[in-house]
Amino acid sequence: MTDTVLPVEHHAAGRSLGQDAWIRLRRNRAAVASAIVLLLLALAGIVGPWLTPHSYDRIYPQYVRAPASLEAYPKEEAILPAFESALTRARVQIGEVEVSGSTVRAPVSDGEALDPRIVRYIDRSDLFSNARLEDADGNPLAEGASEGVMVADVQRLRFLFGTDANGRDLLSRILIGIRISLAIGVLASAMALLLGVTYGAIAGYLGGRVDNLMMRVVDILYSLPFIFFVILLVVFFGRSFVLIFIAIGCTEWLDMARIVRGQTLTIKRQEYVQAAEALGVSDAGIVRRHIIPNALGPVVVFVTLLVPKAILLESLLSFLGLGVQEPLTSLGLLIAEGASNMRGAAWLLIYPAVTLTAILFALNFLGDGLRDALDPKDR
Amino acid sequence: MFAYVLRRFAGAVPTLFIIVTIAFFMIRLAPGGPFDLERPLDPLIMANLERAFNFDKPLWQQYLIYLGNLAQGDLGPSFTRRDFTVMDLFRTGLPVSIQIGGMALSIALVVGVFLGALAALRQNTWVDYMVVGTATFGITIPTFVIAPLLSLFFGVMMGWLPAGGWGTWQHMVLPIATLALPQIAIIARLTRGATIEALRSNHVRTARAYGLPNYVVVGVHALRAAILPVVSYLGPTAAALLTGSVVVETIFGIPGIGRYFVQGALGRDYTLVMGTVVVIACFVIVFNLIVDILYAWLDPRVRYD
Repeated sequence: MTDTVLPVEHHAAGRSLGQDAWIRLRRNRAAVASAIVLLLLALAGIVGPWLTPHSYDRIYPQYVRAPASLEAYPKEEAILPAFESALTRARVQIGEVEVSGSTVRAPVSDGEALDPRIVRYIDRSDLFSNARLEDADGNPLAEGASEGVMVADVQRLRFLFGTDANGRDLLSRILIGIRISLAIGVLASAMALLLGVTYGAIAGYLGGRVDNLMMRVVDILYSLPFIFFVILLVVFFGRSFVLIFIAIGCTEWLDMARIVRGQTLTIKRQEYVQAAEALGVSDAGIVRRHIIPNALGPVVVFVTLLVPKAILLESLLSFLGLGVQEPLTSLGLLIAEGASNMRGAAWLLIYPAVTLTAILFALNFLGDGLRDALDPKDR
Repeated sequence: MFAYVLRRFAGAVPTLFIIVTIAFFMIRLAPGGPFDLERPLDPLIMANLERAFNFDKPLWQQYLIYLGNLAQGDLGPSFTRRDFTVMDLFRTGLPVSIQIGGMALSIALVVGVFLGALAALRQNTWVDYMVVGTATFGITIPTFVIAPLLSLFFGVMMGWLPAGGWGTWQHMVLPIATLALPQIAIIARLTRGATIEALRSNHVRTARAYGLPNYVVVGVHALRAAILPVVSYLGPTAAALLTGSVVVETIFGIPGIGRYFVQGALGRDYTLVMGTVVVIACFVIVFNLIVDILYAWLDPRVRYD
């Protein structure tokens, strides 16, 4: 991306390839910023769901599509009608409802003795908690009394990102979505890495007819449209978290295999390998000192570009309804839900879209930074 | 030339055959069938249905029947959309997808090549940085994020364009923009890189040494070389764009053919899935051929053999 070729000073002490790359990477401000953003997002995805007061699958029926707000819910004007409607459902006569601070009280009476179980009608509401019946002096109501005061605490809830169409906290859902999306991205890439490196290294190392055959198989798999392949896999084996990353990994290892094979083929014939051979270095030594470190650069770069690709693919699958299943969620699924609810509830689309975009940007910039740092041509 | 095209088409037949075979057996391996409903059908009705669609025959026989029909241009009836043959569905849906995809493709090609060449000619100026920055943006943000955001902003908030649907030219603006944006970004990046390289190449230096005016050097000699990677990128991309995008068609509610594969695979609409595979494969084959012909025309060193 940014093609700034940084001059590398040469110290007498000498630096390893890795140290060189690390220094170059640290000088790339976009890459460093991306790495920090990614770390923060990953942290949010890992720890965040435990820190939010709401569970990602907790439904608040009274707060369906509550707009994003820094203030706590319920809004002042919503308390009275909600309390009244809850009491009406309890089928008792209600007097004047008064709200003071965080408690609501209303005199209630019934033709017969008040049933203490009516507090459940209040507790059941998302707006109130700790409902109790008291007498005029604030003591618990005596058994069999037909008049009393219904007192309840107003439950203050914060929905910083609002709630979705089912009344679930969007922030918690986005956090769990980050966790799922990143996990699938990393696991699928690890799977592709394992498959691709093994396959490519074997093909490149053995060479000849075996190499030809192995690469022909890759070509054939390559010509199958990958999204179709994933869809068929998902359709075939059903939908589960494990299957999704296996399916993505199975489709994304082809490029890796090609890269590793190509690397192995070229490195095998390099002068420095021949020189090492001439100096009598063992095969294991050559592989360890020369082939692996030199093949690693493009592989690392490719992995960082593979993670956003895998995340995108998972999001696309979720978007199509083939990915993770409710109540679990991923960023793609949240965007799909947001897209169908965007009339009147734009935040449902905007927050997940911004989150996914931030992740993709950070990963891409980091990948570009790594490529600049590891690419031998830039030296 | 003509013989070359003929040879390529003859070579496409086995490719198509392999693709059809793999797709046929893969979709058949998937559990379930097109007549699975919430409530199981009466066994007698099921048996009749299976007989009517040859499902009672062994799989290899069904495969041969399908191949025979395909050779005659018959893609069979759709199982999920009763009363329609797969051919009917494509006859109504394909023009819609081609219209949107073709427009997006043309816009992406013109704008992308222009921006890329501009950035290359003004390398390391603010124009260059603007183009590269925007291109990064366009490549990174996926279609299923761009599409609803465009629909939200221009359709719902501003009310300038319909948020979805099909009918007038206004309905086509947002889907075309959604499809074109990432392609503009990729084409601009490709063109930029290739133009920078071409401007340094020997034949451009020679053209300059001849004293040719700048616009001839750039427009004829540099761009001709620079457009090669774009052309080879366009082959599969054109096929993908013209056969419809499931995301764009779902979000904007467009009656194209992009959704058929996913819907068909989920509903076990075997013939619809097979039909989509065949249509897409044909597009890919044709466009790869066009790319190869264009390549030879643009770069005289390439020969058809």
